[in-house]
Amino acid sequence: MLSVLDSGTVQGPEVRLEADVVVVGSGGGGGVIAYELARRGRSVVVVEAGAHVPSTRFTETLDPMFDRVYQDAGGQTNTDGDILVLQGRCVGGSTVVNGAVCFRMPPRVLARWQTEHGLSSLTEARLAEAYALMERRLAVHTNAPHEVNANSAVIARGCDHLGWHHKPVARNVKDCALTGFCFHGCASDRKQSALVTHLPWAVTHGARIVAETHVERVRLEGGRAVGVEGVMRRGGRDEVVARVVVSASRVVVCAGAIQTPLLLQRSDVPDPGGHIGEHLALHPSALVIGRFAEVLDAWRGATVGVACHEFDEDEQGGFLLEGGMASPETMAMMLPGAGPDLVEALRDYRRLASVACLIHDENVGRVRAEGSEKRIEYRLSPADRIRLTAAMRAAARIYFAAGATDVYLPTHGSGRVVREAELDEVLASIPDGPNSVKMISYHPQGTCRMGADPTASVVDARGRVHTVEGLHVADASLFPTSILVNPQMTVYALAKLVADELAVAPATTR
Amino acid sequence: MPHDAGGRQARRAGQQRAAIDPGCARPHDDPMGASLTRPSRRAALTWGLAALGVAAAAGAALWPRVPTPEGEPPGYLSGEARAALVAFAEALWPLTGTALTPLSALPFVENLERAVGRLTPAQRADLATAVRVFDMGAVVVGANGTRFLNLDAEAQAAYVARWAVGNTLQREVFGALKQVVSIAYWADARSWAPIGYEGPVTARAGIPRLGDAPLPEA
Repeated sequence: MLSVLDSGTVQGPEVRLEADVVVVGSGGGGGVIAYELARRGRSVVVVEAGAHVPSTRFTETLDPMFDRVYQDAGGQTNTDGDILVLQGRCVGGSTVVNGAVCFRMPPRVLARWQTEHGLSSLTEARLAEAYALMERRLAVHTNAPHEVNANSAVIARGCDHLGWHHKPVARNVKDCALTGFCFHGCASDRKQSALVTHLPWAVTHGARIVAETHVERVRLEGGRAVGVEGVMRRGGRDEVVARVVVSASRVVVCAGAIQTPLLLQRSDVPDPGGHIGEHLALHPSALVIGRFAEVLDAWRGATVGVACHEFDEDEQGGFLLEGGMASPETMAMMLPGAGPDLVEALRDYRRLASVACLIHDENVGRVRAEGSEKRIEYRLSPADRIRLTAAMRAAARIYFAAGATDVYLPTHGSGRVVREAELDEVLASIPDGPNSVKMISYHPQGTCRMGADPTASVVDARGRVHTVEGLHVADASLFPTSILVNPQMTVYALAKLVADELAVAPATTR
Repeated sequence: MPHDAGGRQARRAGQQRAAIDPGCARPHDDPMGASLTRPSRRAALTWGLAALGVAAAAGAALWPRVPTPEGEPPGYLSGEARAALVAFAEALWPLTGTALTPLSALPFVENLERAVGRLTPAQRADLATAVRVFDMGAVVVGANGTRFLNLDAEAQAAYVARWAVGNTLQREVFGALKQVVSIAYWADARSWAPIGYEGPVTARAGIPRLGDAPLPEA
C-alpha cells in the first residue's frame, strides 16, 4: 500500500520538509510531475488536500464514496446551483473517480491554441509523443466488443439506424472487470489512475506524499516561489493535527481548475492581466435517459463503451455523446419531474439507459475567492445553450431510433417525451436561464490559461507562471480553451512536457 | 440569480438562517469549512423567501416550530426540516401501491441526517434555507394560505409538482431538495431490490485486486 504522511502517521504538531520540488495536488498532473522528476533524481514532495483512500475502502456505493473521495462530498456546484462540479479530493485526485475515458485533443483545438494564444512551441508532434507515452504507461486501449455494454449498445444501435458515426471509446483500464463502478473508484485497481500508477512509481523513486493537507498559500520571497504552507486535518477536513511547511526551489500547482486559481489568488500571485481564475469552462454534460421495452441492466459492464462522433466539429454542433449509465441515486436526481411518472420510470430502472451530452463550451466562467469562501461562477452562454439543446435533441433521436418507448430530458419539470414528433415541442418548453437543465461537470478547465502574452495569460507554454520565478502549473487550468473531449490524457501529456522542462532546468533558476 | 449580493445581505441571511435552524451552527462545525460556501446563493434564497412575503419571523410567529419527534436523536436538521423533507419525498415519490420500498421500511431520517452531515457547514445552511423557503412558500404559491407541512397529501403533491416547473428560485430549491432525498432513499441498499439493481459487485464476485501497476520502462 502507498506510503503517505497523514494524520494517522504524523509525529507532532509541525511538519517541516525540504525538497527540490513541491507538487500541490496528486491527480493526473501531479502524479506525472512527481514521477517524472523523482525518477530523474529530484527530491519531490506531493501535498494532497484529500485523504489516502486505498481501493480496499472503495465500497462501490456513492454513500460513502462521495464523502471519502469527492470534493465537498460530491456537493460542489456553481453559484447558480444547476451544475454539479464533481472532482476527486483524495490521493490520486480526479483520476480515481473519472470514467477512464481517453481522448487526444482534436487537432483543430490545438491549432487554435497555437494561433490565438501564441503557443506555437506546443506542436502536434510534441504532444503526440507525450500522448503515446502516457497511453503505453496507462494501458490505454480502444474498448473491445466485450467492453461495450447494453447501455452503449443501444447508442450504437440508434446511431446505426440514423447513419451517424460512432465508435468505441479508449479507456485506461487494464483487464477491466466490467463492474461499472469507475465513478466510485475502481475497487480492483483495473483503472490505471494515479493512485496505482504514477504516485506509487514516484514513491519508489523517493517521492514523499503528504495527504489530508490543505495548502493555504505558496510562499513567495523576492518574486520567486520558495515553498508552500498549509494545515493537515484529520480526514482532510476535521480538526487540525499539524501545520505543514515545505521548502522547495520549485512549486508545481496541480490542484485542478477550481483549486489551482484559488491557491494562486490566496498567495497574492501578481496578476497584471487579471486572468487568474478567469476563462473557466466546465465542459458540462446533461444526462438524457431512454426507457426501453427490454431489460438492459445497463449498469453492468464497462462504465463508458461508445461515443457518437457525428457532431464533433463546431459547425456540426460541437458536442459529444458518450454512453454512461447512472446509479439509482443519480438517476433519481436526473429524471425529470415528480409524482407517478417519476416513480414509474424509477421502477423500470432495469430498462433505462443514459447518455451524457458533453458540449464544447465557451470559457465564460470564473473561479474566485471571496474572503475564505469560493465561488464558481458559470452560466451557459447563449451559444452553449443552443449547443446543449442540439445535443439533447440528438441523444433523444438516438434513443428513439434504437426503439426507446420514452425519453427523459434532464429538466426539473416535464421532460418526458413519448414520441419523437413531440421532441422539439418539449425542448422548446424548457425555460431559458439557470436551473432549467440539470448538468454535471467532471472536467473544469481553463482558469490559469497558457499563452505567450503575459498580459493575456497566466502561464507560458512551458507551464511557468509569468510573474513568479519557480512557480509552475500543470493541470487542466492550463487549457486556453475547452477541448470538446474528456481531458485526462491532455492533462497527462501537458504535465509530461512541463516535467521535461523542469527536469532540464537548473535547480534554482528558470 | 444575482452574483453580487453584498456583505449586509449575507449577514442578514446568516441571522435568518440561525433563526430558522440552529442546527446549522453546531459548535463542532469547522470554521475552515466555510471556505466552501456560496454566500450570494444563500442570500438569494433568503431574499426569495422575503419576496414570497413570508419572512421567517412572521412564519415562526404564525406557525409554531415542529419539534424533533421524541425518540429521534438530535441532528443537523431541525424537526420541521426533517418533517418537510419527509413530506417532500412522499409527494415526490408516491410509493403507496407500488412494489417499491416504502420510506418507512428504511431509516430515511437517519439517512437524511447522514447525507446532510457530510455537507459543509455552508451547504447545510443553504439546505436549511431552501427547506424553509419551500415550506413557507406554500402560503402564497398557489394561494394555499398555509405552509407546505400543513397541506393535505394531494395539495402537497400539487405543490411539489408546481415547484418543479416554477421560476428559477423554485426550480433551484426543488432540485436541491430532490437531490438530498434521492441520496437518502436510493443510496440505501434496501431500496434496490424492487428495481432489480444489484449493487456492489467486486466483493460479491470475488474479483481480485491487481494492486499497483509495475514500474514502466521509461
